[in-house]
Amino acid sequence: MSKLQRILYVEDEVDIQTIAKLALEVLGGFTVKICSSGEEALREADAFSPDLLLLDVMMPGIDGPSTLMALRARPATVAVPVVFMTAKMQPEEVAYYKSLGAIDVIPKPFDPMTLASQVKRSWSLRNE
Amino acid sequence: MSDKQYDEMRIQLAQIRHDYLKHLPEELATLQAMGESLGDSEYDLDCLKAIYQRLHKLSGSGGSFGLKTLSAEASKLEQKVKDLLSQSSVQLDASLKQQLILDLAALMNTLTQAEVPTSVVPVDNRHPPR
Repeated sequence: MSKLQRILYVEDEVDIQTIAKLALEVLGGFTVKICSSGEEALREADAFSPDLLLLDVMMPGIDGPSTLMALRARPATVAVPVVFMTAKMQPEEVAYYKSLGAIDVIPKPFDPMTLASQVKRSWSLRNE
Repeated sequence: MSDKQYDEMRIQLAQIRHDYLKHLPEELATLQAMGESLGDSEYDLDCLKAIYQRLHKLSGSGGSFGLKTLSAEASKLEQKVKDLLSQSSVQLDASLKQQLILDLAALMNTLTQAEVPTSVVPVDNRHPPR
């Protein structure tokens, strides 16, 4: 897997879904599937076969970290790189996300004009 | 990024932002009403949690739509409510409740700044110009 094309973005906030999808598709040229919850991501991930998972941290129901752990337990998504998107960016919080296996953390709020570039940068970290 | 992609993005973003701003006063009014509905003598935990979640969303979405002041203020208030929620047993006395309502109302004031197009700024008719 060397080219980033398909992104599964898990985010419960509709306005952020809309703006992120637009930014990633128009400026990044990616194919983006939005899931509004961790539960929906667990249902949809296998069929969508993402190259990258973007996960919000704080969501009702299954939160981002729990979603990551559940996806890691499944053969189809066990090795898919994960990036968290969150406002919770204290050093210990970032260290925690990375201890779960995230390759990067993108801070929120994000700038829609630079989000695609940020995601590409995160993608480049996957083999480090 | 090509000029065409950039232009397309700017146009679509402006439309989405406009829609967001149209609904924002209603969301802020809802938040304020939720604050006012909190009981005086004991925490309504569900309501306080709901306020916390809405503030969290507001902080994220506002920032991405360029409303930096609103985002920062919502974030501060989110932390304040989080601190309230983390206390094991604290009564929401009248002054604490009043402060929370004032803080929530203050979020609305951030919408009168120049960063929001005048077409979507709620008009304050309480103090007509002389």
